[in-house]
Amino acid sequence: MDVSYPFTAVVDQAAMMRALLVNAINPDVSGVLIRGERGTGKSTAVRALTEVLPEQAVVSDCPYGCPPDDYERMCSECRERVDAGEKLPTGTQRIRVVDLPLNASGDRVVGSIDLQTAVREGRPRFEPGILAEANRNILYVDEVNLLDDHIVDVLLDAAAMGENIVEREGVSVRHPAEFVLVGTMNPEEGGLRPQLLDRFDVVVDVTASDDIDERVEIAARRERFDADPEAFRADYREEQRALADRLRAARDRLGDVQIDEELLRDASYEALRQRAHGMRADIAVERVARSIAALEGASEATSAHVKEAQYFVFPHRVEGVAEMSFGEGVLSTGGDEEPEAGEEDDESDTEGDESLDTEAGGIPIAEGEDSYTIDRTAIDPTKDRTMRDALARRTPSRVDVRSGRYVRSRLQEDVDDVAIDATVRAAAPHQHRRTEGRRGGLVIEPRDLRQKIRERTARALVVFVVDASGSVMSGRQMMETKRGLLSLVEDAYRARDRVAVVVFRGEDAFTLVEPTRNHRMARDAVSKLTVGGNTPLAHGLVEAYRLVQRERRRDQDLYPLVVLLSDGQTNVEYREDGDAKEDAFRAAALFDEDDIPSVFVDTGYELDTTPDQIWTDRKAERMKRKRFERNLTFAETMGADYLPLVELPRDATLPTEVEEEEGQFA
Amino acid sequence: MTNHETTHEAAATEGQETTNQTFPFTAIVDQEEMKRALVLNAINPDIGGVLIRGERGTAKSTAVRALADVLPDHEVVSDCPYGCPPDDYERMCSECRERVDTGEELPTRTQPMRVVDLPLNASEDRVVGSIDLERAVQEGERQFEPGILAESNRNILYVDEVNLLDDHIVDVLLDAAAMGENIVEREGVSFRHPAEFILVGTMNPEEGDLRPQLLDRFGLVVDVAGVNEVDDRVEISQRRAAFDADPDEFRAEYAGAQRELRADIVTAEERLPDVTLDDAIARLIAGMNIELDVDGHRGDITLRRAARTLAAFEGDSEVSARTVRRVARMSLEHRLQRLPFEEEEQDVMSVFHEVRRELGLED
Repeated sequence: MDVSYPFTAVVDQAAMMRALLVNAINPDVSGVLIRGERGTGKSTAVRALTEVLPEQAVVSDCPYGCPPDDYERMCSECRERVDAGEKLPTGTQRIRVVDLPLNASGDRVVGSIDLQTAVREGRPRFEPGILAEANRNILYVDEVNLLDDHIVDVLLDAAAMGENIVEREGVSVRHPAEFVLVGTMNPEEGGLRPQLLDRFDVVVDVTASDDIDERVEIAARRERFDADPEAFRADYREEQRALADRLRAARDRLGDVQIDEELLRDASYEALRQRAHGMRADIAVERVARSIAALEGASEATSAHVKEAQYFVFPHRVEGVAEMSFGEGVLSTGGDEEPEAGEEDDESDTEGDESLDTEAGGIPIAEGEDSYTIDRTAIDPTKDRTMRDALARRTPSRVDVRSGRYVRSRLQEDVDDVAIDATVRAAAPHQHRRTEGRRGGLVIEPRDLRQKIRERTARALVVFVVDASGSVMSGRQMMETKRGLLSLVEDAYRARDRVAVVVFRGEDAFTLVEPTRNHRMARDAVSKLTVGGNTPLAHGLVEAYRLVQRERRRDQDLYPLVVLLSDGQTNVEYREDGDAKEDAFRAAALFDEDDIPSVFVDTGYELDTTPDQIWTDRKAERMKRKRFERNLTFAETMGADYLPLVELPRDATLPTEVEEEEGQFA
Repeated sequence: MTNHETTHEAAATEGQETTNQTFPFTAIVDQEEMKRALVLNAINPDIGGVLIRGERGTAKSTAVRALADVLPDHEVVSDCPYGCPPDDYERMCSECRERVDTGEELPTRTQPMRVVDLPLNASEDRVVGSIDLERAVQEGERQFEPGILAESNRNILYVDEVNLLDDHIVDVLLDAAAMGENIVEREGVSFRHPAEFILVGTMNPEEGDLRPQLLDRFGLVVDVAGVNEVDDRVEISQRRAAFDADPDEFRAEYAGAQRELRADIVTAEERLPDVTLDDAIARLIAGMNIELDVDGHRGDITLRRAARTLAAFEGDSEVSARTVRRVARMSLEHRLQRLPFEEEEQDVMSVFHEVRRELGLED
């Protein structure tokens, strides 16, 4: 609450502190994003900042805290007053940290009609929201990656224009909304929309200290603070004051700090070399470097300042490093190479059916050679996206329901879930007329009624069905399968989906991971998966089918998605005296009949190089073509999307051509 | 909408009603870890709550509800919906502060800490609070109607089956838990009030796991298993039968033990600020956290708090390695990073001994 931990008492975390100070003194720096694991003092530091922030001159009776001497940045009301020759009352106010809580609804963020005035006086009056409060201040969003999409849209809009434009519920207002956006997030909980990420001029990653003395100090300070906040704060009073003075001085000095053109040229060159997106990086480097110089008390930015600025500005803008986190997808679709047409061949499809029966118990694969530190730069982002989009489309992340979170309201016929606040607001402007001046009670007419729009994260369950038979040991097939699988599990976590993993090998299939939201557990199990034995594809499908049926009984609204990772081969019959291939097709048909959404990821499409090794070129080509056709039919039988898994270049460095990524999230 | 009010009222009186019919905490057989974790939180709310994981029928919910009976009393501003502490200005809601500022004498009363339930089907507006509809329609006035978070201020917030809680409610809880404050900016209301609660959750891991972010918010986590001793099992069913047959008599039997535990908790609470933790122990704790690669610093802080609280409860004036050992697992195990491709799992106990030996500390 009001007693915050002193900023100067934060141990370590120099980069984070520096980044916050840079933003505190220079309102032109658009914001800072602090990413880091839990419990690293991210929020503590941001809240602590409040106390050392400098003061600024404001128009004292203006809800937007307009600057008294900058006509251009004033709200329209203040301008009118100036134009009318009025002398604006001014005062000073400390820059504030304004909270934007995750539960905020749109009307409170942008502002809306003032209920009281509307009801009592029958005239629409604008009541400013959080964006108004944030003007010329710091807007802080904790867990910014969890913010609702429609709030993010509003933020981006306002940030882009430096202005908040409101057209709702009978009010039409625009007011300045220039704020420094500060966000904190734990990347484990999901990423940030690229547009929002780009809004932050500065990004810092924080980790916990692993120095024993530092850790002891951190814990001890926290304990002392909790035991007696006042005494603790008294210990730091001097330092706090000194820092506040320094910030004030830096802010005053900022306008005079020079930066050499040559340095800027070098910085731009560096931005180009590192392929930092767009012009924002160049501009940000200049601003941040000048702020750093001002903080240091210098009158001119040096190359050291520019270097430091680049450290803050580049990480999230450089292709390949952006959004880098472990386990990011490696799965990709090829699709651009059609298998060459070969002549018809009636040779039966046997090569894969020959069981490579290895000893029971399986063999751990892909160890040693590859540590699975997945290099994001090795991924073709466009292709990767196709794959993931295909999956994402099949699992709606949000559904309209009665029990979900109330996100906004709308006008509709047959309102059955009344959005009270919106309804009252809609009715408010008409009260004067409807009540004809009489007091007491609000008159609400049917046309005022607004429906609540609720959203709830869909209860999706992604069931992975994985071939772990000996036959997938060829080439890199299983390894790529695993990598792909891991990245999909990661995606599922981001989307808050539950996952389950069904494995088939030997003579049977089993559920390796029961439906869970514990994606760490799922990852563990997948990474320890061993392969070997025959290929009982039908068993795997039946096991998955049963699992989905069972879960559906428990939850009517469940949205299942079955992802089959297999090369389409099978050599174990499900029915006694049955035919392996026929049984697999029958099992596949179950999914189509029950409308269970599914995706068939063909792991043999390019990765299985067995035919190349065994046969001559032409024959190998024919084999591949046959398999491809069979797999397409198989996908059709299953009612599944067909996606071939392609091997990715192992030694890829930065992509040689920067892909244009525009429009992807537009 | 009248529904709302009745549930609200019911919840408000529930604390008193249910405690009269709960199974006595001291009559719970075995499950020492779970009981210790609960008691530690009752003594020192800063520990940050406890999550109890276990199969059905392991007395998880019974224990949490039973805890209410032995919780210490605290002073509250009697007419404040947030139960503000009358003598701690910093922790008051804005209204109480205003009253203090205008020189008003706040009416106070003593009441026991309560266990406030957060049901799984609770809607967001009930959790965070919402606009008072009647006032809005009648007067066009926006009045904040406090929700469950308001009620749970300075009390225990209990979520049964916490792993099944809706994501958006979890987000709200995390927000409030992180700040000790509930900030409401929705449905035309802009309001903030203190929400410092002890989060207690129970769950059956078979039903799915918890989001790491939420898991990390729990100061302590204990895993309970069914009782395997035949004698204990017999004892459990006998006590249960006796309780069901005549709750009042059964409770009377344990009244002495209950009083004693409550007194011990109060004493420990008073003693807590004087318990010291010397540098060697501090290094032991930090060393363990580094060795175990615990995310962030919350592990260090919680383990220190838990150890000091246990020392206070047991009448020690200083934290010993032995005290640390007994709270180490519940403080740290849930914070271990389980990285993929890492075969061995780190074990809290063996790391404890390793670091302890390195530092030359006695167990």
